[in-house]
Amino acid sequence: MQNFTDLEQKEQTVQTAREYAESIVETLREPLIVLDADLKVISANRTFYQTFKTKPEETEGKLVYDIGNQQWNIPKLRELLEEILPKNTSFDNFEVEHDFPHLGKRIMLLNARLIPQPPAKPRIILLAIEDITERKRVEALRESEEKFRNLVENASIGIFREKIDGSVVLDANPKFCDMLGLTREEFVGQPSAIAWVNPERREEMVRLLRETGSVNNYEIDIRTKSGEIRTVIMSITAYPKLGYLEGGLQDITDRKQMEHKLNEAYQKIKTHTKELEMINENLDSFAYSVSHDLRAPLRAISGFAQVLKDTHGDKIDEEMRHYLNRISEGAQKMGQLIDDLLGFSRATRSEIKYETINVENIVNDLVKAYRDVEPDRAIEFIVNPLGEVEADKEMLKVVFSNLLQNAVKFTIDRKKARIEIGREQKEDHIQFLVKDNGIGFDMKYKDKLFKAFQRLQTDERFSGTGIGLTTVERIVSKHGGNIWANGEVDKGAEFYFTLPSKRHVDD
Amino acid sequence: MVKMDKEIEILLVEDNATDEELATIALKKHNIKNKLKIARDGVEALEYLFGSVDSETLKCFGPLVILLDLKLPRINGLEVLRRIKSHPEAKKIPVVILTSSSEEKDILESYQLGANSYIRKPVDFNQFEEAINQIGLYWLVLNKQSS
Repeated sequence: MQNFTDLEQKEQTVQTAREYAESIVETLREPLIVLDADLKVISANRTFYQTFKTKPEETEGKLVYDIGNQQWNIPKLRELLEEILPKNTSFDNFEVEHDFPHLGKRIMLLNARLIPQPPAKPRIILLAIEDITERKRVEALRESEEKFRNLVENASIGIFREKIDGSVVLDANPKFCDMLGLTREEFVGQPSAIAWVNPERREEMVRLLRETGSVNNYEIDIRTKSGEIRTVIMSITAYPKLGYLEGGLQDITDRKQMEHKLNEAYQKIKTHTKELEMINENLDSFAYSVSHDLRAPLRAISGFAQVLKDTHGDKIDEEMRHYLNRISEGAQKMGQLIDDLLGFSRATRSEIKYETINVENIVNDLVKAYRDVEPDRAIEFIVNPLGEVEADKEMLKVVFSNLLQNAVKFTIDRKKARIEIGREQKEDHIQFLVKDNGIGFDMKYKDKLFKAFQRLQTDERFSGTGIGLTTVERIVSKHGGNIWANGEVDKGAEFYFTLPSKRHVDD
Repeated sequence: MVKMDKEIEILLVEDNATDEELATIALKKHNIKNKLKIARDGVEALEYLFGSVDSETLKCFGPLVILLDLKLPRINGLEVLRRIKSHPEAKKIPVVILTSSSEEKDILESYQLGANSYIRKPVDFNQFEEAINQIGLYWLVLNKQSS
């Protein structure tokens, strides 16, 4: 009897507990279903039926995947119920996105518990389904709003909102406040006139906004707290329904100043270039008239001295003849000096006209000319293969002509003069050599070789104007090459110069 | 109207009196005794050849050789050369440029305009003489002109 009562009492307790549990389930605001171990629906709460538009008789006893036109036949759910749950006895907050027939695309948060039962009884599963679509949307909106807010707060351009008539500042980002030197409190809520100067520009802007709804890159001045006037460009859109204007602006004061300075510099350069061009032109005509007019009197000096000797030879004694010769020589020397100076100035001023040149042809022509001029001298010219090079033909002629002329001149006292011309291909340049066995020079003075009017020889026989090698140096360096010399007194000289293998495109 | 001297003439277009005298001496010295005409600038040269500066009719028919300086008062040598060489008749007259200039562009332009020779006046009188002699020898003796 006692046992029976106990049993009855226990059953009573269990019954109470079940009813209690069922009423909790029933009153839950979230859909909840109870499944048996075979995933068949034992029961579901009212919210479930309401939410998913089904009835108990269509649901209870059915496999969870089959109910409501198989709307729960979701692969992710199957995996959760059949694999995760048996192992872990629960899963929490599992998000499933699914297109439900009556609800449309929804995000559901799933929570499940495997409820332990007395050993004899089969286990049951509680599956709670929470529709978090709306919550997610709000979250996303808030996030996007925050992102947008950050964007505005951290923007490097000024952003603001004003009343539709442009009268009052409704909002402004920190950048705009910084630009004005005002705090947000000092600016937001204040009349717009606090920032904008030139009222007529403002009026025009407001008019444009009224007519077209927006303005782009509108230039206008603003006044900072300290009274400084800065120039900005703005782009603004009007939202008449919302009653405000929104826009962004950028300070272009520095840019404008820079542009102004650049323009000034550009104008200066233009003027200078024009001046330089003019100077160059003047130099050209100067050189032209020098060549023409300075030589004419020299011809007169040299010419009439000669004519005097020729026509009055019988009345001229040796001493007179000597002086007349001196006069002629002087005039000729001057003529040579003028020619050399002109050559030098031409080499300095002229632009390089690049072409592919057969160097051997140039050198052979020069060699032939020297042989013609000095037929009595035994000069051995050794012309090695010289190939081709990209350079200005006239200028290269001047280079070889000067170097060969020197070699011929400084070997004048050699019984057997030997002049060799060679070429060597280096990594990125071509090296030429003009070598003689003449009187050479002291390496002490090698730096003076290429300086204008510096002469290393005092001997009359080696007369020169001291401009030849300077001209050569100028031409070589204009081509982007180098020139140097090795020598020893009485042991000959070697002149090396280089030219780039490939000229630069911008040449 | 038209001159038809059988005697070969040399027209020396030279503004510099010294150079004119030296050229005359040099020509004489080498027994070139042709009739020498002197024009002291481009205008005089054109007037001699065409009667007037603007005339299109050649007034002076060869045999003739012209020694032409480039740097001349009023109308310069290149312009004179251009006028001569663009005239259907006058272009047959040999023109020797005899100038102080050795500027590349002068040489190039002279030849482009049709100069028959380009000689730079040397400072040395012996060379100058030699050049004059060569001109006389070539243009007046060796070269058979089309008539």
